[in-house]
Amino acid sequence: MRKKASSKHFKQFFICIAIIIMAVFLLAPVSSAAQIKELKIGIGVDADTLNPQEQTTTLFQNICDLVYDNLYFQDPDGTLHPRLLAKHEVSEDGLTWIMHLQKNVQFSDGTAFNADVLKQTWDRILDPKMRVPLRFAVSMVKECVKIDDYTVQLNLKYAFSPLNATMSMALVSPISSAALTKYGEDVRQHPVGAGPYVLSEWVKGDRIVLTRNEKYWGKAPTVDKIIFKIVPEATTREAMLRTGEIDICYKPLPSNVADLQAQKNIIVEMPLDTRTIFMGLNCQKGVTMDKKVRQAFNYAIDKKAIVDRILFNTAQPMDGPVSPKIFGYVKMDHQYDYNPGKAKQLLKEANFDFSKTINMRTPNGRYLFDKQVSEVVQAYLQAIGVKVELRTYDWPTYVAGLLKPIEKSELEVFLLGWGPLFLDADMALYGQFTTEVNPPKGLGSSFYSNPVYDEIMKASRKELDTNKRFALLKQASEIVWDDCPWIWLHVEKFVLAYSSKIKNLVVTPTEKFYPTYITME
Amino acid sequence: MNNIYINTKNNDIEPDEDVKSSSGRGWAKLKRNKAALMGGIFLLIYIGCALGAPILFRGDPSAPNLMDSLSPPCAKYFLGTDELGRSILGRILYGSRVSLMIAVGVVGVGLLFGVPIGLISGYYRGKTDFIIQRFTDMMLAFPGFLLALALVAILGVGLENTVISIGISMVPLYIRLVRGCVLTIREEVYVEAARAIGTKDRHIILRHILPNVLAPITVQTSLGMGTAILFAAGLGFLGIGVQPPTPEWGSMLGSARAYMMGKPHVATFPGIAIFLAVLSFNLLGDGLRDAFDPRSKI
Repeated sequence: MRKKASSKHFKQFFICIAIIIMAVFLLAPVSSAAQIKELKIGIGVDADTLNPQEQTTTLFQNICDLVYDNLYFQDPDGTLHPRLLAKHEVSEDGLTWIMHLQKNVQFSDGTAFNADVLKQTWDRILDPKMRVPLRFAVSMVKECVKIDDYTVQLNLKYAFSPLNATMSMALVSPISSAALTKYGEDVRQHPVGAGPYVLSEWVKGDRIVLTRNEKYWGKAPTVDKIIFKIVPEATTREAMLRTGEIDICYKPLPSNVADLQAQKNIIVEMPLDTRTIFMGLNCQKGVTMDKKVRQAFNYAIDKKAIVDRILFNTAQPMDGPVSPKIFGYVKMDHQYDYNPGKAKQLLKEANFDFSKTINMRTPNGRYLFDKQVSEVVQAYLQAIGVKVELRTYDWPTYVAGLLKPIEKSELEVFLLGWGPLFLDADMALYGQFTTEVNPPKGLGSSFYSNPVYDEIMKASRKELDTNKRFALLKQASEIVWDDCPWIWLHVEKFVLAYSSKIKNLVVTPTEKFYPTYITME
Repeated sequence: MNNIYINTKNNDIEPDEDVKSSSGRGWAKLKRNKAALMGGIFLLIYIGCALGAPILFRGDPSAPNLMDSLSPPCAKYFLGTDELGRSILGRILYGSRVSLMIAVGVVGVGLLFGVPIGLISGYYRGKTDFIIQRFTDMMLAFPGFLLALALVAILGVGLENTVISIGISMVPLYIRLVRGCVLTIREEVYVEAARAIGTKDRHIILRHILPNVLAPITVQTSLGMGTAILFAAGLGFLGIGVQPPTPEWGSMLGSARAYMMGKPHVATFPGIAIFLAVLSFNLLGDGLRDAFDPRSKI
């Protein structure tokens, strides 16, 4: 009896050992594959600053996100996830926002993240002496008040319901207070944040190297080291990806996307972006003051042909005034489909002066094939009898021309892009079309001004109910779509090509990507 | 040896047989130079293309046809089409007009300012020469293309401004060249003789000195045209030269860069056009220098 029992125990023991050995064999490759030693990313330009409050370029805001983390993280679907902020509460009038901080968070230099640090961050953002180019995005915030060690209160000048989405911007990411004391404004070269990565090397014009932050409060990243290799020529970056010299190629050329897609070892991801490309039409000066002329110009352009033939389908024609990726987007019932006959008829109704030459301007190289798009628009307008002179400008000169007040403005027809930094229509509909943003105060270079529209947009900012706010945004969209302050061209796609070995790379419509938790086969 | 510089038509001294034969020898030497001859033939073809563009290509070289974009060379499009579906052949032919216009314009600006200033500087010497030469030094301190780039940034883009900018960047080269020649010629016996009989400075400069610096100027003009085409193509490539949709070789090349991997023909043909045009001027310029440079005869 005893012998039988001991033999049974012996068997059970062996089965247990066998299971453990099998488990070890099965799990071992997974655990070793999960940790990636190095990831090389080819990018086009070097960063000017890694201070999140100063940065305006999406790619470097992306790097800032990895170093500093965000208050909230907006995923590709637009859902907000708590990061350095655990939650928030809004008062009924929408003027007071209570922010609850994540506890037990420390910066990579060991400094604790608390209400004092967040208040310091907000004080810096709101200080007019500080260089904060995107301050307009939080211009509604009056002040930040500390409530306790892990709670702050934001007092607003006026209600602004999409403020929660604004919290996902790198603009409001906190910097270690100890680093600010140590480096002062040189912190732009010595970034210290609470994110999953730490800047370990920055060789100007060559590479930016990030290594894993061992003190990171969240889940440990799967990649030990990320090297952002600066390779200005897109074709060279593509060649490096093909040969395996880099793992991710940032923004390959649209003309080569089809070829890259055909490669078995490369994945090309192209989520629709928030950036819309348009031809601004001056609504307060020149021939484009007439709504019928603006509508005629919209009918005169074959936007689908532009997207298909020039942009190689790395864009999609606009069917509403904002990108389909953002909250507030509604596909418009009426579309300006290519119809040169109708365009000519509208011009006739508007008594258009065909002897006048319209001045068209375009940047060269700022957006995907911008010059080529402008050339085609010029040709389409000439096809309906409109004389157009096209001029290209370098970017700083071009921007200076956009910011002049109406008295000095020489703008008639101009190509521009507008990409909201978070997934909400406010930044596009308010930031481009309200009277308040007409230059020089804002960037609404079409000088569109409609009091009814302004009232609706102001009401949308105060409205906290999502459905009611959506209805207001829809109403505003319909008005502006009909008024045509732009030739509605296309919504760009964010193109990212990477090795097919990489899995779980997060790519967002705000032109960002997060390799923090990728796995590699 | 110096007699070869004497203007045989306008000088009071009667031309002798030796002078005539020196000039004739130069032309004979040029004809024997195969490279220069080839340059000349290329140049004739180039000028022929520029003048005959509307006959050789019927249609608008600037009108896009998106449905035929990036078509490879075929029966319909001999050299294929660009990203907007425009015939590359048509754009190269019409582009040759633009580049020839730029080359002539640039050299014109260079000659217009460079030659008179160089003559004055070399003839009068002294303070005038000092001031002009320091100013020339300043301009020469910048590489030619950089100077043209800076001038375009100030003047703005466009065909006229491209011509003016590149032309101005070439002015110091002509000043230096002419001044150098004048410094030698002004010491010649026939100039001294003209001065001794009371001939006015203006007369001496225009009648005795200018005709004798024409040979080096001709050489520089030929080489300068090649450089002008290259500079204009460079500015066009950067997008700050001649404006779209005007066909210009440099901007064609600049736009084609994005399609190099998949559609190399878009960049290849404008590149060949620039290469041949510049080569023709350079070969001819070198030939002229070999034929008329006095040092090469010693």
